[in-house]
Amino acid sequence: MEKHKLRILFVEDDDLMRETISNILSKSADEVFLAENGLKGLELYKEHKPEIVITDIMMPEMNGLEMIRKIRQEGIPVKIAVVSAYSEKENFLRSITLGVNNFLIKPISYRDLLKVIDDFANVIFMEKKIEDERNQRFQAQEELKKAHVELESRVIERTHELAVANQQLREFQETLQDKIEKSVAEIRMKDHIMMLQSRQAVMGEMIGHIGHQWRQPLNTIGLLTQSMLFSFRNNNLTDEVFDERVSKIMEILDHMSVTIDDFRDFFNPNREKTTFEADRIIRKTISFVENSFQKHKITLRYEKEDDCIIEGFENEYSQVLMNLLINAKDALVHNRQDNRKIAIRLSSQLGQSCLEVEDNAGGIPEEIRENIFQPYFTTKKDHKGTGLGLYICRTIVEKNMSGKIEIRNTNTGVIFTIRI
Amino acid sequence: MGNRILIVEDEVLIREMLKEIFLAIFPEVYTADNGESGLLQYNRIHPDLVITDIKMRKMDGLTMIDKIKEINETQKFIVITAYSDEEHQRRVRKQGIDHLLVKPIDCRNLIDISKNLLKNV
Repeated sequence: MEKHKLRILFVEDDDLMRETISNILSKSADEVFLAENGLKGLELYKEHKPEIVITDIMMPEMNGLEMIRKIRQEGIPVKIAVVSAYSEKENFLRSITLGVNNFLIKPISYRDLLKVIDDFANVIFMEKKIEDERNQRFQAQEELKKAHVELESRVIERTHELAVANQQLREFQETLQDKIEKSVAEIRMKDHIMMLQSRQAVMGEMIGHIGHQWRQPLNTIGLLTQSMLFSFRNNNLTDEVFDERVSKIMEILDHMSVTIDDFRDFFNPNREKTTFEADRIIRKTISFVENSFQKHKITLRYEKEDDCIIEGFENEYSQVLMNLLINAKDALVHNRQDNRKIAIRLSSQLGQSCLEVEDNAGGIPEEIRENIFQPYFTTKKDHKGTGLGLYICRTIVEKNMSGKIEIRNTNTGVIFTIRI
Repeated sequence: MGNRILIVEDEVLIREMLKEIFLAIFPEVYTADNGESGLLQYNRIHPDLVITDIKMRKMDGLTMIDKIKEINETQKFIVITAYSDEEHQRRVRKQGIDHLLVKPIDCRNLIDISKNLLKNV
């Protein structure tokens, strides 16, 4: 701590005494103010606010005690010493009540004077130090308070930020939830559309088969009708002939209606799980495609080793088999000139039905074997395939009927295995 | 018109209908129920026109046609098919078939074509 400036006001009416003491004081003090009476002393005090006041008592104009009283009224803890003689006991008592800090007895010794000043300087120094420390502490407290307030406001700010972040998070979660729900709905919709597309592809194929199946009976009906016309023109259309032709036509029409029923049953969107005999569905499915397979010189063989009862959707089971048969047919027509074969086997293995569809169309390259169940994956050229068939097969077998569909290569082709 | 016609068709009802209709116009109509018996019949009667189905047991129509052409390169044929797709028709035409009719057939059309083909015999 830097040493404080020490300034002294000395009030004495005796000129010689004032001069003498002033010289001594100059050595200890940084600055000395001199006054010859209380009034002058008070003026100088008010003007300079020195740290120490040393004053005589008996003086003209205003005595020392009166001046001290007035200085004290200023309210500054200035250090005051009075100079008095032993004989002036009254003055001592009054000085004490005025809050004088020290006394110097006349005649003033050089030593006593220096000691008083030294003591005052120490006290001032200590007081200053205390004051400084108090200030420091106060400042520290203020800073602490300020920090506290700042902290509090930051806590409030942070709390607000957190609330905002929380709100944003909640909103984000809600949007996310919305998005997820939307995506799930979209995926479901997509699956549904795929299912429909695949069904349509199979339906198209079946319409082809039916068209083919119908050509023969349509041709017969046509001929029967025209033969009636020719007989009529030749005048040999008897009642018997007429009857016979009409009943023949009706018989054929009945047969064709059955095909329509089968076809409608196949596409009946029946979502009820039933138990059905695999053998019956397999035979029905084969009957749809048999004719067109013959046209492509494909030998279709079916062996039933065991009776199998399946719980699930019989139309979907039929759709899976139809898909596999159509795929095999397309592969055979594309890859083989003759000896085209498809073998279907139904057996019971470990309590499950096991349906195998094997062809000799050359098999599938190992590197794409994993992909063939993916949606929109097709190896068929000229946009013949939708790329959905096997994807839908897997969906039907694995999702809808909790089964398993697998493919493996043989020496001459592939085998699809369906376990349900 | 004393032309001989051979009808090769495996389905009995259609075969009989065709025979009946053709007999009203042409006096000599013979039939066979598959390619093999059709070929035997051909060798016996040497018809001016052969009308045949394609898909038949034992021997199909196209095989029979090939064998007949080995005997008589200028033999006239009418082929009746149930297959309407173009690829199949192209394949049949490549074999030098005069006419290809798709089922169900119109008899008036069949008779007109037959008459035309037989005019040049």
